[in-house]
Amino acid sequence: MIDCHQTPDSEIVQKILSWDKEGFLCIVEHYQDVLFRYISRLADIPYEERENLLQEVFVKVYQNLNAYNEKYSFSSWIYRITHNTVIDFYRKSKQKMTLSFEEDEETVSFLNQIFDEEKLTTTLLEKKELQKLVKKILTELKEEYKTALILKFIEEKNYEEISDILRIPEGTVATYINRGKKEFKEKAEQSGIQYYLNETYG
Amino acid sequence: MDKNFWKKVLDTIEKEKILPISKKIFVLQNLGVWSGIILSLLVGVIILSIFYSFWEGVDWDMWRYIGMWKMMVSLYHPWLFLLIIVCLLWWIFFFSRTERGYKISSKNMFLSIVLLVFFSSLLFFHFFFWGVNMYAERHFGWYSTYMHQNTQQEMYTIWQNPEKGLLIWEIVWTQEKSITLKDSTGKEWEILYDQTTTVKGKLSLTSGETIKIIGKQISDSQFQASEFRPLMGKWRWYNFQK
Repeated sequence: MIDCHQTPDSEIVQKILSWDKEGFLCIVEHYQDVLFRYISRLADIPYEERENLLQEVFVKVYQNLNAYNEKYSFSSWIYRITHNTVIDFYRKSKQKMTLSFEEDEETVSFLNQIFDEEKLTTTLLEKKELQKLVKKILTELKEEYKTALILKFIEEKNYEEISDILRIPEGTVATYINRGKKEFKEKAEQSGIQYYLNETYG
Repeated sequence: MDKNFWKKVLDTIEKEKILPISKKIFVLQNLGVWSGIILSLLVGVIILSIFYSFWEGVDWDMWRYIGMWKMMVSLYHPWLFLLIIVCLLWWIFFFSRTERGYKISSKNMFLSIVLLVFFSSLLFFHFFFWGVNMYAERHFGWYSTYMHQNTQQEMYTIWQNPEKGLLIWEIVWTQEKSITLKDSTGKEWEILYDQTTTVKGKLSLTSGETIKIIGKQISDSQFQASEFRPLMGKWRWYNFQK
């Protein structure tokens, strides 16, 4: 019996490869929520479609387990598969990437970080409106900027992890984040919400 | 998230009989990528070495006779340049597909490959090129033809200029103080020389020898030589088939 919370991912991968299905269940259980939220952030599509995408992710993970190199982070590897699956979905469906902000812990925390509490003497309803605008602005950003911003500020990944997920150099990650923030600021100014934003984002 | 989501995933895997792809496939893929990298590097190094050999074979001191620009143009080999660029792109393409290749920025990747090819080809040129070249000349007709056409063309560009005091090609007859030379166009010249005429490099003025001459055109078929040079010069591998 594997203790999913104590056993390192690389050991679980070895167990799966030696036909231990329990190991694979550990991976599914451990990552299903976090990856589902990531898919949800990148894709404003019905629940069932998001679940199908997640299922596709885990099937790909199972198929490609031998490609995983234990020297590197399993989390980044599985995020990369998820990211590519979402991008493939957009490519196939010829849709533009539209973000979806659910009321989950990380998104609420991100939105709370964005707004300056002292300036924000508005009602809950107005706050919701501001959040909608932030979502709209983020959605309008270039695809590479918005994914970098989401991974950095909502998924709370560091530069190295983002570099591994998007398969780009860390310098490019920094550039995307800086340019994304700049573009976000410009659009925030145009939307008239810049005043409410925290200094880091505004 | 559906509590039975894991069941759906397992069902799909079992129903569609999905199995993990064998490690051998990934090892082979990796091998393919690295073979591409090594091959592109090798081809790049050989091409650049060929270019060095052309460069080294040019008589740079002749620039005052025909002008530096013409000499530089004689070194321009579009196919070689194109092949070097193809090799660079090929290398970048394969390298970015290695496990950690994406960590290096395009700029650094480009700079590192340029430096790598440049220094590797310098080493290759000095230690192995002539040996490899000799082998290739003997075994690959197309290579031999390409090299001969290009080196000959370069020499003709510079040396087939009697009005500028330059002549090239084969001694057909030798006499005391004069030789008969057939130039690269097939025209015969009487070449006069005296004790002031110098010989640069190892050269014997015998019939059948191919040479380069600096001097002055006296008449339509006479030429006063001030310097003789061996045709091969730095093209030491070059075995002209006359």
